[in-house]
Amino acid sequence: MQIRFIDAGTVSGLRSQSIYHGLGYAQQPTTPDTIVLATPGTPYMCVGYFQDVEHELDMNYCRLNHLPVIRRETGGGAVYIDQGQLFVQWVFQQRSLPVRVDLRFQLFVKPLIETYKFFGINAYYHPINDVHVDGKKIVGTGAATIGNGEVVTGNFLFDFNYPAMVEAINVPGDDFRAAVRRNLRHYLTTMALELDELPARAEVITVYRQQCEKILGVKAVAGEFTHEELRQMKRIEEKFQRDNWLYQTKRPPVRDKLFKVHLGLWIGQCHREVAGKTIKALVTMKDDRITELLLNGPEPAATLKEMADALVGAPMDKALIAQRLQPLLAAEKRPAWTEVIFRTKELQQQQTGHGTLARSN
Amino acid sequence: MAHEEVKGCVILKDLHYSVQDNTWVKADGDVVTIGMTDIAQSLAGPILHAKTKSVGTARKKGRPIATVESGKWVGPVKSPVTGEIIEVNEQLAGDAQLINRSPYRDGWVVKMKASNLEAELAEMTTGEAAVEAYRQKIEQDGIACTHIDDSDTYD
Repeated sequence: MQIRFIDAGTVSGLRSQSIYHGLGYAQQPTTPDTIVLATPGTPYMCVGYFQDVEHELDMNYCRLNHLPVIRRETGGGAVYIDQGQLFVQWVFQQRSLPVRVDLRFQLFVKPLIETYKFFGINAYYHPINDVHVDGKKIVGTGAATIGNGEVVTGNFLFDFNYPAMVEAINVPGDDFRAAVRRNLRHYLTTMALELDELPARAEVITVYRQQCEKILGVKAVAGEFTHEELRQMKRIEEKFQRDNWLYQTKRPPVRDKLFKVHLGLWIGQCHREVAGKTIKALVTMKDDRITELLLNGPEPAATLKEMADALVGAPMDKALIAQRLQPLLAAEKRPAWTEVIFRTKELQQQQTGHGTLARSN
Repeated sequence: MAHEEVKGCVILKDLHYSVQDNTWVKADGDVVTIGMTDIAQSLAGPILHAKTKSVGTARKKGRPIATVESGKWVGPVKSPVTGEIIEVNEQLAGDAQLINRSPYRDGWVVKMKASNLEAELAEMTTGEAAVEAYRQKIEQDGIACTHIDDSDTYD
């Protein structure tokens, strides 16, 4: 069996997004399964289909720094993208991929992981759809159905502009931004950080292609885009540049904020009004445990610090939070503080869903 | 309502199904209610967002009538019939997991006035044939359905 393998080289930021959309919309029953590799030549911010750009991004910063914003038709969160990434995009026929999305991700990341390993990076699958190295994320993936095409996307992360990402997102304050900066640095890694010397992109592409052939049991034949695929890409690019597309999703303003570093690591800032005063909790939650906690409110600074000290390291469990606050706070104050601290967990559950993916017996 | 469960996946026998696209149709004259099947909601996982096309939109069979996003997948709900959208489920905008909890009842997606219903219903499966078609699909693809808290039950 053969698949089409397209090394699109360095393309515009817009084209780096439009390729997989265009291939999906142009797909016919006879279109070969296709793997595309592309490097975005210019930096941009990319937001998910259901996101409100003005909630997610500091649009003034983006404008002042000439950072275009693209709203894709696929899901997930806001991300900074530039030439430090090599995009990997699969656009396959439905029959060629597992129906279950978790199995789809597992298949997709295999050649990525083997390629990272080839270059000396001990990458491994981190369910449901990340690749990690020593507890740090190096690949995030997404899946979508676009037109008739089944799309899975991911990347080789050669390097990452941490400051640009941290500055471009819309956050509720400096403490939140500092928490994002710190945790991205600790828990998002790159090939540049893992290796003494970066491999050439052509070398990475060659190894990746070999791994795809081996894992998928196919011959990856170099190919080109069809006229219809290019036409669809242009159509998508025109749409993506319209303001009515970019600003299509509007959500009511919210005071509480949640940011995902990776699937197991979340930063949340939540508020409550208690007797006319605001109490605030900035929580970093890793694998359902509180790893950082900054509290603001009318309590004395020493009490706030004791409360935070009592909870850092604790599981994110409402009853346990209340129990640990018990010796430090009067009974009437504990419910509100417990709620404001636990609220980050509730927001995370809303964003990821309360249930689980379908599992086969 | 007569139903059958295959690996936890509920199939209501009085609905018509587009097995390929995992959608169901309930016809009342030429007005049809359309939704995602129990299998579709299971495969998607907990749905975070759902956005329907607007009332008045004309759709051909196979074209999207809504877009849904779960944890890491976004995709269309494809119309199993040709016609015009006459009503959308407004509740989904604020609570997309209604599709997970109640795929055949409160989580319906749109209602359409169908223009070629007789022929298109004939292309779908229903009753025991639908159960059999899904049984094969479930076996072939290794699917088992799961349900989030407070999901509908079928007795």
